Amino acid sequence: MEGRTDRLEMASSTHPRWLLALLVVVIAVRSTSQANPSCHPAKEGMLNIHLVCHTHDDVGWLKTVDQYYYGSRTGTQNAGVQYILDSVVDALQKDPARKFIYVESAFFFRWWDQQTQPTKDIVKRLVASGQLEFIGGGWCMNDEGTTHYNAIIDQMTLGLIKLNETFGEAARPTVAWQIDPFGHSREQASIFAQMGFDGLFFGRLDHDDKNTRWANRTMEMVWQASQDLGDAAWLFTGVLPNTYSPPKGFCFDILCSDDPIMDDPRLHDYNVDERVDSFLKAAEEESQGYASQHIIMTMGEDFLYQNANAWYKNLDKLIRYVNKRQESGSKVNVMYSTPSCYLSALHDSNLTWPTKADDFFPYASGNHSYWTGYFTSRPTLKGYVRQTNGILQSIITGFHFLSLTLAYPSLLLQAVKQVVSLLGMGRTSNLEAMVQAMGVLQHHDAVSGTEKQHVADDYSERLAGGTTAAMGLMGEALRLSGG
Amino acid sequence: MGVMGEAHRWVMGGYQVVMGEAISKLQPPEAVVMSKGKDEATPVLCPLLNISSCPITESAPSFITTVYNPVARPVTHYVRLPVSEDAAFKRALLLLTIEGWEIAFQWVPSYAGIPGNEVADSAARMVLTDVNTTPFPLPLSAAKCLISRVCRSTWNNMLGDTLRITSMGQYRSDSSPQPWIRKKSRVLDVTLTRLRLGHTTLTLTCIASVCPLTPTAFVLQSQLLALNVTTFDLPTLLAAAGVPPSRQHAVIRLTCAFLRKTGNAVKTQLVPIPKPVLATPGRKSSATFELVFPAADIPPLGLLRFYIQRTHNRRFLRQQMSKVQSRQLGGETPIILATENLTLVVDPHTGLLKMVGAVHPGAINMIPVSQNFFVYAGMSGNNSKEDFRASGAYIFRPNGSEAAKVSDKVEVVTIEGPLVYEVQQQWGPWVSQVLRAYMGRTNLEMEWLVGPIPVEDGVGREVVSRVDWADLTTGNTFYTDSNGREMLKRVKDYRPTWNLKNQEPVAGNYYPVNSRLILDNGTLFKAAILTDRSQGGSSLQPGQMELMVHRRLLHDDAFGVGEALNETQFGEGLVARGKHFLLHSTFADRNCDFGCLHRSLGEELLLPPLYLFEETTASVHAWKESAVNKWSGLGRSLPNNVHLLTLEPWGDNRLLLRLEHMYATGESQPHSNPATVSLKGLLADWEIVDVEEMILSANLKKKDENRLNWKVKESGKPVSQSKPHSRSDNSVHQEDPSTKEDPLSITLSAMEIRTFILTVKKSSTRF
Ligand SMILES: [Zn+2]
Repeated sequence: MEGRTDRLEMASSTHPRWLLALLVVVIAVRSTSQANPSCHPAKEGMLNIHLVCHTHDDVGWLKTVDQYYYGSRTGTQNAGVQYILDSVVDALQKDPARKFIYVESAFFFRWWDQQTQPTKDIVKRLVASGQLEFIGGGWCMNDEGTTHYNAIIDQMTLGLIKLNETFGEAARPTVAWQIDPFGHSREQASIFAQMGFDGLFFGRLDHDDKNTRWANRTMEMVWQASQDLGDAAWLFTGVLPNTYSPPKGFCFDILCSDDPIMDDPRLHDYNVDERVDSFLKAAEEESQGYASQHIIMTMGEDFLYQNANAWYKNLDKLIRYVNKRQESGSKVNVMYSTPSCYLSALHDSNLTWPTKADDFFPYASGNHSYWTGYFTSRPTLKGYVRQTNGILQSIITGFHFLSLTLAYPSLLLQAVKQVVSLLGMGRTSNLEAMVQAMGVLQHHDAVSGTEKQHVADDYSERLAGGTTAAMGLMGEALRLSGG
Repeated sequence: MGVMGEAHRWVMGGYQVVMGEAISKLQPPEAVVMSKGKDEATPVLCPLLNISSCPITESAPSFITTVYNPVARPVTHYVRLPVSEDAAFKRALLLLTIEGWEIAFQWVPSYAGIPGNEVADSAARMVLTDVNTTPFPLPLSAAKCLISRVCRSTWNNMLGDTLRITSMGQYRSDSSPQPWIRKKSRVLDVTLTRLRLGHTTLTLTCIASVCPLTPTAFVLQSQLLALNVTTFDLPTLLAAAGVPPSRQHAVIRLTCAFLRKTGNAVKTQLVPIPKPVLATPGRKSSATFELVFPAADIPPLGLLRFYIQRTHNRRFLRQQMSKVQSRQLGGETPIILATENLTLVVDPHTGLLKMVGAVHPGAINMIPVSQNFFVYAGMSGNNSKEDFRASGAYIFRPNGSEAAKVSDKVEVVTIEGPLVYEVQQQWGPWVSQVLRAYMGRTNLEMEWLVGPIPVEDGVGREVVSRVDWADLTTGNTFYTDSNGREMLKRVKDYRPTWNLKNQEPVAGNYYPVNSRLILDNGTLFKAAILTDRSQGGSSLQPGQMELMVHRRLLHDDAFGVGEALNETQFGEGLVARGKHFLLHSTFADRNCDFGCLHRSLGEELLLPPLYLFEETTASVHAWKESAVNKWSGLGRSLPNNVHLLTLEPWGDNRLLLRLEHMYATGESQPHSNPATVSLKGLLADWEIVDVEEMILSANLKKKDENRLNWKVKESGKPVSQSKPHSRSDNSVHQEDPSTKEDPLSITLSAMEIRTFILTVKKSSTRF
């Protein structure tokens, strides 16, 4: 959203491009490169620009999660996730060079469940080929200021396990993507590290912190995210250059107003030269803040890509014309990429990175704009979320697990079958509504209290509905088990 | 103490007193499912307990409360149930706790081979193992008196039924060595049970015809006579029951152990609900009192069930009712409420908290502390530039003036009773609070009720609770949790990695408080405040704790949401109720230091017991016969420093298990030390046949983890490189045979979480 995207004041840097460290601690380097073969190769000696096509899909904010999914209430916000995924899947099939990332599993599985088998097969191929990559992969992109680690672990696990079951281990997300939460907690980084993530990218940090990092080229670092866990909790962490927006002038979405690339010289308004110049300038500016010969550009925004073709048509051209300049000496190489391709390129750069041991709170987007109100906003919703977490843990250990136990000793086979089918011996299968509701509530516009009132009401209803459904099962379990 | 030791040993010897009757009667199972599935109510939650509202507890003549403990250690918890004034005054409530009943009335003379009984045994064993350590609060005679009072109202009803059953039942078995083999008849067993209880209408002397014959005593006598038992003294009865002389002594001693447990279990207290709670908008409840009782030692991952019934017993009401005093402010004598563990002093002029204290051997240590509610006026503005930024859903921006006290003086009502002391404080129409000190608990509970926040004057308001520790000089440093786990150091007006020029002296020092804020000046003098939800908080002055509890604002802050944060409900501003818990290092003792106090309380707040309610028309007797009233999913508790983070069914015969060491290094002695958990026998009914360690998200085997490694610059301080915690390098473990772990023995170091997928099968011993 326009209001929420703080454009960076580009600070000019006097620091050398390549910082050499005096003292270096070398950690054993992974012996074999795990670079995803689907990543487009970088060009040595050039500034490599990684275009990351993405959409930021809030699991509820101005509209409810389901309104966002279907795209209803366009008057409030023109946003429909089902169209985004339909459209991206079409666009990716047209050119194997194109890439896209998807982040919020709550939306992805709403869509997946409605697809035909042929479409599912296509998606599986796109995932296998690396064209479509899951990044983050939790049920939502959870808030970090008002969430409890118990709920963070649950919501991440919910999304990641579903992805695993659907696409196999090869599709396991390895990059965390917290592009919108309003400040970043150390525990979140520790949890990501323990979940096997190789790196984390985010968008929001204190404006002065950002300026300082930009000037010192310390936008990317290794977060030592635990006092006790050692390097098991180290996480490579990158601050994105432009929150999560494209460079100014390069938003090619149908909802944006930037000019497309008009490349037929016979037609009016031909603008390729201007567009390429302008892009190279943006790239040069961005490279000032970063230490390696790779930079990332986030080509997306909130709920964009409902018409993915508009993006890819223009980005195809942008890549073609920018790289064409290399023939006349340009040292800039641009390509479709993903956060994991970018991270892997940073890793291959073999640089030495600064460290970070505290956290990124509080977040101030200006001298008088401290995002510290949301720590308390909607106190009853926050209380309800925490209370429901406790109930959910009780239901899982107590009545899902324990009632199976209770049922076994005294009941004959027939009754055991009844209990098992009632409760499901599968993973929380019959608690899904409650587990998913809790997953949704961890979103950075849910438990944070920063959604519209009607959305907050919808969230409360989800918690109540999920709890009621789970309680029904629990009561049955208690009865069947002799309670 | 010798008797208790005997009792303990005796219990451990294997003869258990449990809910065996109930379980054995579950057969045949189909019949149970059929007959129980139809007419019984399904247990339900009462989601509005936080405003003392629950239809079942308010109106049902008798109901069952199931209390489930999701923590992997036994937990003692004070249950609070809303009850209506009508019931409270006219009929008085009688609480029969499961422990009272179980121990007073139930026994299984033999249990071998009866499915379920052995399970129940282990649950009971867990309860009884602390017999040695729990100080007995009452003289034996007083306990007997209490028990008999509880029993009398229902005993006679039950007795008739009981005596009609003369057979041994189908579950007779006598293969195990026991002090008391049930042999002759149910009549004798009943007689002995009643003797052990000290039942007043059927004591030894009564049976021996000293007291006037009651009808039931007469029936019993005649039945005993039919069995040729003519001398009604205890040795004779025991002998007739088949208890060999060598074991009679143990049976008699057991009586003492039983009385102790039972005497503990029946304590209850009726506490009036504070007026502001009764007036909460939207509250539709007839309840004006809360019935408080302890659910003692709820088994780990287990449940206790309580049968609660109203009675006509006025004497009971008198005993249960709290002493309620409306305090006039202005006197010189401070208001002092003291439990064994905690002393609470309220200023007689203001009605505000003045001191807390703890009793130590030889001294009471009193700590000055004050607490009050303050209000920030939210900045209004059109957000057209940074200076005009409004306080809103995202942004906290006070309008620049100091926070104002809600009031200098509060109205105070004090509550005293056997289980809890309360100070009910009222600041005015929209802020109130209850301070609570429960017997045996070492924290001060502060339940706040805030709203509707007035905004009629066009000013948005943000309400904070401030606690000031006069003697705790902490400078500008305080600590807040990171998502409820590790603690982070915060320094006012300072950031570790860049030069802060803070232009928002309050908002710029606010940090997320998801579970606790701690003051610690490096001495033994520390304080913590714990929350029941996420809040913003800070320490703006040395020794001060500030938490924002509620906010109501009239302007959008222009970060996209497009609405002012002006929550309303029932046509008024939203009312919120929540809890803070105050801890001080002086509350610590030898067993639990300050770190232990806040970590163990934090775990209990995260996973509070779950209450379920169901109305019942069954008699206590029938209920006991049919219900599983005490259970545990674990074969034993986890060590005190290990948190069971996850135990979840995970597909075919698999369970997901996460164990967490919940202490940081240096936080508590000895809890910060590594912990070892043996998984063998941990699950009461499941045998673990395979263990696979996973990464935290359970989507990759730990041994397949291969994260990218990064070279880092060493900063000023040493880089943490404590490899022992890192399990990413598997080769190290495999090459060194001395570190080869028993797969069922799990060691956790400080703050470590380990995740496992267990393949399990039912323990064969139970079948
Ligand atoms: Zn967002």
